Amino acid sequence: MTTEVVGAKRGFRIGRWALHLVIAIILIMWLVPTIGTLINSFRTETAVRFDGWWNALAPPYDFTLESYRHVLTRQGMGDAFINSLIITIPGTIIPIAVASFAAYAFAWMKFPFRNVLFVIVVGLLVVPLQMTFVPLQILFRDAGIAGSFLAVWLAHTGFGLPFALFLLRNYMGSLPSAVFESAAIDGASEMTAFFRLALPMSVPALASLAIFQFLWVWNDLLVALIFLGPNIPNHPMTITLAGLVNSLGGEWHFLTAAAFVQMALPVTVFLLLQRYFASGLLAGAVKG
Amino acid sequence: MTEQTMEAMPPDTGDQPDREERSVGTAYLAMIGFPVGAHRWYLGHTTAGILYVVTFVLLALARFAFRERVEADFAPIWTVAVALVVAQLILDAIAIPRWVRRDPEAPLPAPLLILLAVLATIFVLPLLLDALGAVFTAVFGRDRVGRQVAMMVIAILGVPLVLWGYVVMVEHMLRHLTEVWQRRVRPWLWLAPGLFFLYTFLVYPTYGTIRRSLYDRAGDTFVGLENYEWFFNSPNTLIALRNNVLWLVFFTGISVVVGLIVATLFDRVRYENFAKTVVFVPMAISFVAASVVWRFMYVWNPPNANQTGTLNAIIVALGGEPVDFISTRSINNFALIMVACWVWVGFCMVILSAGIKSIDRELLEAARVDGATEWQVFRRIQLPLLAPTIAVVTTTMLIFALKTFDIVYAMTNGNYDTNVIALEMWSQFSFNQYGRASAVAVVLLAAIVPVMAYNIRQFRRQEEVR
Amino acid sequence: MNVSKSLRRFWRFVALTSVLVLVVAACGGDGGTTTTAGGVTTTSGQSGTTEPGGTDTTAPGGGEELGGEVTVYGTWGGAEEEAFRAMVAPFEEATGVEVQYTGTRDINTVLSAGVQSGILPDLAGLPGPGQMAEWAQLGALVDLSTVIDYDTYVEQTSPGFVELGTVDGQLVGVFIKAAVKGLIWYNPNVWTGGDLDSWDDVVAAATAHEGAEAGWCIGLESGAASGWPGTDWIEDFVIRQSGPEVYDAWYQGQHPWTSPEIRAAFEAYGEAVANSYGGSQYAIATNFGDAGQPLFTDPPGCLFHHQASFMAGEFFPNYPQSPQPGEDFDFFVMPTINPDFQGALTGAGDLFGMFNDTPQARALMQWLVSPEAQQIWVDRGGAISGNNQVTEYPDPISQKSAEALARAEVFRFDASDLMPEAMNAAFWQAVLDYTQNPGQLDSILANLDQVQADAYGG
Repeated sequence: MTTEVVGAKRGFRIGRWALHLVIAIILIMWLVPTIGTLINSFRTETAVRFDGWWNALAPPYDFTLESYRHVLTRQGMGDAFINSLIITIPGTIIPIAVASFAAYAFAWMKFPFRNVLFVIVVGLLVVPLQMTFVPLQILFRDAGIAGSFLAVWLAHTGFGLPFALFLLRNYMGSLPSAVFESAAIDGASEMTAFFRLALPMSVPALASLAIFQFLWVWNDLLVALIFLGPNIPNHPMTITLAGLVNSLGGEWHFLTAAAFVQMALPVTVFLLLQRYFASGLLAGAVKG
Repeated sequence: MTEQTMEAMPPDTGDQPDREERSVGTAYLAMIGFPVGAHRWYLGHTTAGILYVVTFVLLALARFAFRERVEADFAPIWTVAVALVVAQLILDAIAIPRWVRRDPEAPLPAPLLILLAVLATIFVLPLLLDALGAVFTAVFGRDRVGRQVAMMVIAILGVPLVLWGYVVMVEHMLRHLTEVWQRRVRPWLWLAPGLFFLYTFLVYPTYGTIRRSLYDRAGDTFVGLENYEWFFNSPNTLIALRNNVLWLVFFTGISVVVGLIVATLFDRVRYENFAKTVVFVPMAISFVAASVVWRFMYVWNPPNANQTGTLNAIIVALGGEPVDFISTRSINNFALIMVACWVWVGFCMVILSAGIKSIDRELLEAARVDGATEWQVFRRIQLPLLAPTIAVVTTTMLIFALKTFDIVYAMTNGNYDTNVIALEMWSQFSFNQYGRASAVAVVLLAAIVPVMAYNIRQFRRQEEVR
Repeated sequence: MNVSKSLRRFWRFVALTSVLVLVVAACGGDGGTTTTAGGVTTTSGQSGTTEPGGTDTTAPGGGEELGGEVTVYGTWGGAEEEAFRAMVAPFEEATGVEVQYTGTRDINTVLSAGVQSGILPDLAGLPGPGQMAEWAQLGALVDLSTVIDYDTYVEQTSPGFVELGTVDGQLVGVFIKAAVKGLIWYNPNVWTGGDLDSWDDVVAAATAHEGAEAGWCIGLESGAASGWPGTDWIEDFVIRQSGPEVYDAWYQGQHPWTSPEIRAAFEAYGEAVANSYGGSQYAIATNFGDAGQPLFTDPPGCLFHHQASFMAGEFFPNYPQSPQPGEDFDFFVMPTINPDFQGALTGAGDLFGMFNDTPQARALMQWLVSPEAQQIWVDRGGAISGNNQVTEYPDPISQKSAEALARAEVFRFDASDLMPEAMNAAFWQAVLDYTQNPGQLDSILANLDQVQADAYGG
């Protein structure tokens, strides 16, 4: 028995090393493109265009903050950043709020054509947004909200719903039915079951959804461009940053710095949401 | 709980009809707040119903008139509306005592509430906006920003509140129905906000798209299936179709498999958060930036020149010839798919990782104690339990593979046989070929039918299991 | 007790419902406020929110305090955007009008959606003459002859440009900035023969490529627009080999691609590719802006680089060798090939149009076409004014390009820009395909003929 344990431990240890090695390889593969760009974002235009990024790691070190200075001091950057926030936060919260009720209905209520309807809803994921721009813009115009943030929030809500519903319905559907049955026996209404059980138990799915919706809205260029239209003071950062590149496609080296500026907030949000991805609420709810 | 007590309460009037016997029509009226119980006291069914509907319409018109600042033209309507509102308020006033007595039959004083809400909208909201705006203006130092942040705050607090209020209201109204009807009606009311958005933002434009695909370029002549004929006969779109098959197989396959590997492996180490962040970062890079990032990977320089592309530098350092990943027809599609995988593995990882976390840890520990190897733990416990999540991720990736557009657009614009369907649609759009663009969109829609059919089976299975 | 509980519930419900309506209205209210603040004009095109006229057209910006704002869309980004902002700064100061500018390369999509919904900026750079004509026919564009001083504009602008901006007798597009195409750049330290004025000499020099690895440097990569530098080559051959009539018929879709004239142009370009640094692979893989770099390397990679006038502004000076205008790079205009078509030149420019007729937009338009305004952009280098009153250029190279434009006997706009978008895109792609596989010229041209049959008309 003792030898068995020792043997298992040795195998375990080799396994651990192999595991760390594999993970290291994966991380390097993922990091190289990003690091190359990060290094290039601290170099001069000439170096970015005509020299490999790895050469910057050898002396003479010739780093510059010029790209960041250029990106951050661009006209209207401050406003654009606030606009991006104003667009993204409601553009994330509203679709998730709307989707969670509908997802609960799809997962735990019985009604005719439920699956067919749900599949149609998910199928709407494939609708190309370009097809919707003109009819929606006409709708917004008639409603008098063209160019306002509201129009963009609504648009992102509509476009984000299919995926939100898909993810949430599947997560809620995989929750143990015993929880809901016992709640019903205790006399809990659907409302109570939703607010007290389904929603808290779905926190990991809600967190994943929040981070993706946040990302998509944050990085969106076209929806903002179309629906904010000529209301230029409302334009978000993506539009401002796209303007770094000239009409011939030149000056693209600034995009290296812009990428990291643009990325900072979503990555922070991801880190903040980390702990919600691994939520022990599920086990707790079943036991409680 | 409250419902239970309500049910248990004896009705306060003896002549109330048995709830089970009520007609569907009456049930519906009761549900929308029509004072079913009260009508006997003051008005006939029909009169009250008409009054009710007319008031709604007039109030809507009044709101419209207010916004458009054309009150003058609406003067007669205003007069009638005010009269009706007064009448309604009297009706509500009669109904309120019953409602307060917790009579389950008592109608909601909806018109009163709506009136209050309209007044609040007109008088309170600007004040609220101004007050909040002033606060934020003080914070940001600029008036415009302050007001807009105030709007945002109202929206992010208001919308969830409103949805909550909506569900509370729905549940209130449903109490007027029998159990059976409650179960029939409730799902639709819960779905209503979502379906409204989906209909307005996706279904309604899609309907227009399908119609448009049957018309010519200018949009005024019906051409039947001519645009589809073009689609299936143009060499460009056929290449796009072929490439989409490559994307469907390789992009979906690689990103789901790698995502699963990454999620399972990272779950077993202590620096999980760091590792996940590394793989997630590409998700946060916009596609334009991603094309710049990969330009540094793929760039080709003549063999004797200084290599500036990472991959070619490695190839040359190892004694090879530089490869142009973008224009070499046998590999460029895969080069593009790799870029997309680099971005999307993070997505698969996050969702699969959430799935892994929801598996009971004790289950895994028990298996390990019983001497199961890590592979067995993964293969026999984690994988089967993850199956539904994998199905979700796979479906999503299949759809994204079909919709692939931005990376191809930014990196090759479909040159060198890298075209894809969604890019072809975009091109037809920019050519003002709206008929053809619509036809391409419809083909895209049709292409997901098999994926969806598979999903229906998946749901049925999930239903059986739980 | 019961009553108070119910009352609580009642008021909770009232509160909730009010919040609901509140938010809906908040949103509606927001639409209202931003409509006035953001200057979104929901009236489409010329439905006319203000009475035209009354503005003094001789003084730039009207010379009066106007206030308000004007929204402008363009494709200019980066340094171009800065130049544009510098150009409108004196206007803003003089009139108090705030110019709101957004540069986007998706301008075609944005404006197409805008024309259909009526949500448009006041002024905008237009994607190309074809698109402009379509929008003009839909009535989306304002007739500028009532906005600017038409006679002065005609007087100060090359007739080709005026004609290009005219649709059905209405002036709907004006040029603010121009570029001369078909310039042959060289490094005077390598090519010591100076400016050449005979195409045969150019070919001979390129074939001998004395002191350099190859005759030409070619770079076609330009992201989603890859291929356009090659179309410039072919256009320059068409106009010099076959003349303006063939050129016009060709871009108008009335001259087949498989004709001997167009084929000859492709073949002449093919010869240059065959004699280029790094061969076709270099041409395909290299960014058009970076492609001229071997002119300056040691040993030199190529003798000549065929590209437009903007190379002097943004691109050459940023090469690792930091070449200086005049000293390290210079150009001559691609010489005449067929003596029947002496002095032919191609070029391009940025068309500008007006969607909303507001006093502010009118004032800005008047300012933009004026030589004073265009001088500001020109002074920043790398650009040529569309206005012939602008004669002072900051460096000898810009001066030389402007003179070339003024001297041109036959001037034609970039043909690919004049073609319908579908034809243009196919042309770009054909250039790439031909560069990669010169043997497939027949099928490439036949395919272009097919696109031609399809892309023009309705």
